[in-house]
Amino acid sequence: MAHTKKKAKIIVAVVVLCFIGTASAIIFTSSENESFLDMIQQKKGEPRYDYTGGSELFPVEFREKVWNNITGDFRPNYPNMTNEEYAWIFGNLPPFPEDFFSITELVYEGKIADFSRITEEYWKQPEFYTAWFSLYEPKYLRNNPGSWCPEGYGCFPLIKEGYVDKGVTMRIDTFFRTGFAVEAYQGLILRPYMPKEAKNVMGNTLFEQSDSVEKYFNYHITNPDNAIFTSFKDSISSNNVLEKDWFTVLEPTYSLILDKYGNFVQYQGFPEDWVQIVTLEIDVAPDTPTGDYVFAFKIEEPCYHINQEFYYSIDHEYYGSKYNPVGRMFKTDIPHFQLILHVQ
Amino acid sequence: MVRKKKVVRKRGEKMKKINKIGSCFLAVIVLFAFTSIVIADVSNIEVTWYVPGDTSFSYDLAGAETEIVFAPSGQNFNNQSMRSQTSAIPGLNISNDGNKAIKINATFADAWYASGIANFNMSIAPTDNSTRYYWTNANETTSNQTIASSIAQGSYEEWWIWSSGTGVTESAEGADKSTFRLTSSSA
Repeated sequence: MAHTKKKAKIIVAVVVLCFIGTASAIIFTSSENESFLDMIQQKKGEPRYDYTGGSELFPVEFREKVWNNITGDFRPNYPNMTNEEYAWIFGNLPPFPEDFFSITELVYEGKIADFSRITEEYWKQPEFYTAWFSLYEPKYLRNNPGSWCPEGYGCFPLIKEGYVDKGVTMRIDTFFRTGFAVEAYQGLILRPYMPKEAKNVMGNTLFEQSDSVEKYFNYHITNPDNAIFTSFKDSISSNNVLEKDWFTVLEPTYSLILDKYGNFVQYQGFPEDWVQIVTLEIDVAPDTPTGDYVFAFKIEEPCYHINQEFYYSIDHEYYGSKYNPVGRMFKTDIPHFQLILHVQ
Repeated sequence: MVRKKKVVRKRGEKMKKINKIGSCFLAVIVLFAFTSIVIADVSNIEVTWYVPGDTSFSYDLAGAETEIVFAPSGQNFNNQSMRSQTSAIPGLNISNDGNKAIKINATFADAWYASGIANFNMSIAPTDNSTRYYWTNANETTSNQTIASSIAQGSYEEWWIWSSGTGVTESAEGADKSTFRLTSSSA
């Protein structure tokens, strides 16, 4: 009896101590964050480099909010778009928010640095990407049936700049999307790397970095996970996917659905995950020299053994002639995404 | 005596209950403390600036091609159209899905593997005598040519493609392929 009482007292004491410990840990952590944020605030206002190099970036095409009776939300009213076209083009996307254009305008003005505040109701809409308003007609309403689109993708935004302390592990996100009216299942490897130079939008060098800086960083894509690759990697003899990479098969953003006899059934537009958040996690070594570093994403073509899996497989879904390994014919002179990281 | 025993048993059960609740609470607290430490360890990089730019692109090929293919009926051919290309269907169509104007450069990544190929021509018009850009089997295969000086955001450009050759023989899979490379950059 006395023993049980004693035990209860000890537990209560430990609970109280743990509570005090946790509370002080939280207070300590948040005060650390506050001082870090204060420090960041002091450095905000001016970019460290001339990132645009004078090139003109088009803002989103602002539209006044108008209720759309066909879609039952605030999606813009497109002239000549039928009820059926609204349904197959946008049917798998989230409802269009009432304040879409005012929020998106802030993004294009560079005022919303914390992209985690923007939910998928915004960045999964094709209207979030400025070229949509010029391309929806030729690509979706008047698509040329005599050709097809085997490749197309990109990131938004193009460049992010941030600060970190030595010895920390940090994450950075970007939106990775399929191009408009791409009809293939695109097999690709998204590879983070540390390029030899940071470039501005015009392709001019901002600063150079040597290969030796790699030793201060450990970095890899943590989101989305590599579920597709994991599902077949043990069944192929070799592959060119590295630990830090993300292998994926992007779904088409425009398809003709046919029945088993090859007869047309219906069109299909944007799939639910046509835009995905890609997260790069970076460990910064405690002995990293203070300075600027650049990280980027590049597209690598999957190797022969991987491609075989998606032309034909008995283990998982395959796409036959609609599968296209990409990253060989079309390149961009600047990476689709760059992170300019100042380590202090 | 019996009553006392019952009271003692009840108190004992109460203590056991307190012990159980205490242990659960302790586990929750420890878990919470651990989680908060983990969360505090990995956070997002504080972004101080970003460029709201987008270099997205897409391209179309005639028919259902995934590559630029020529399929002549014989070894000698003159201005052979790219397979699936017609006067109404360009061989290649590049769209600027991003938000800045781009220019497109084109080149072959290496010399042509198939012998006998004389040239590779491109035009923005569907007639073969309107050739604007050409590569020959001399030393020009890897010359970089600007085939579009500026494609505005939300616009596209179309090209028709031909090739000529003499005594060209089909070789094993892949051996007669060359890598044609398109590179977009800021206009």
